[in-house]
Amino acid sequence: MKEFMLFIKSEGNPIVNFSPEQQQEHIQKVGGFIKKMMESGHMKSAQPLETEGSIVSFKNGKHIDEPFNETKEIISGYYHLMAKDLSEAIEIAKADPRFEDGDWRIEVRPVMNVDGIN
Amino acid sequence: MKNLMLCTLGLLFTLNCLSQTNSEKKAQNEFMYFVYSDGNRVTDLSSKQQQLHIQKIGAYIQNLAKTGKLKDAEPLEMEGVLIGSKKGVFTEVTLNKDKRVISGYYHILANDMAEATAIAKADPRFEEDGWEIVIRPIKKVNGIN
Repeated sequence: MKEFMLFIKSEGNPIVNFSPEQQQEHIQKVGGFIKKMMESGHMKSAQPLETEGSIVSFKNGKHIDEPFNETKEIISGYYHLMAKDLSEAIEIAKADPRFEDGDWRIEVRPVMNVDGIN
Repeated sequence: MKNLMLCTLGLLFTLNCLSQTNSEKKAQNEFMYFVYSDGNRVTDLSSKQQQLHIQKIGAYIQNLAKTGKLKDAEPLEMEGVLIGSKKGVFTEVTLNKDKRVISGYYHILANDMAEATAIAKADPRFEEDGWEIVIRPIKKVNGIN
């Protein structure tokens, strides 16, 4: 089994205009998917993210610290998956029921094995 | 009687330590750091510089783990696929690895955004050009995490 990071992307919050009942249903569907993947040993971790944040970079000898103000596509959460290859990771991503509720995109990235890091 | 008092004091001390540990744990918030670079910054380095880069980052990660600030950290392969869906039809786009991509991540425990920012600034990768770390707090959602 190989490790993959799946970055869940959206423009704003696709379920913001849902009724409270529909939002609850969405959370239950996604929560059920996560539980199933955890139980099958395909998921190591899954977390939603707050929309705010901070950006740290380094230029001309000093750190630059800016607020994260992305208004277009942002990462709204992630899955840490175990799959036998990229194809299986893609199939798992496509089974996410969030795709039934609005425009979402998922970036699938293999974890790199580096001696001395992981 | 003396033994009983010593035992009671010992128990109180242990309980106090446990409650302090719990309150310290409660104060910790979770953050994801997404490490961005334009293409693969590391492969542009000489093999000696690559080794030095890995050693420096490895030591930084070890220190974060020792101080209880690190939950996870992984570098990512440059390739990947972006999956989208429109009206029930999936699309798959191969990522352009020469553009700005996430080349790794950290999952960090910190008291607040100020501490999270200070931890990010201590990352020795900033001794080299072309890196950016986006810090995002993890959200608590009932039924998800």
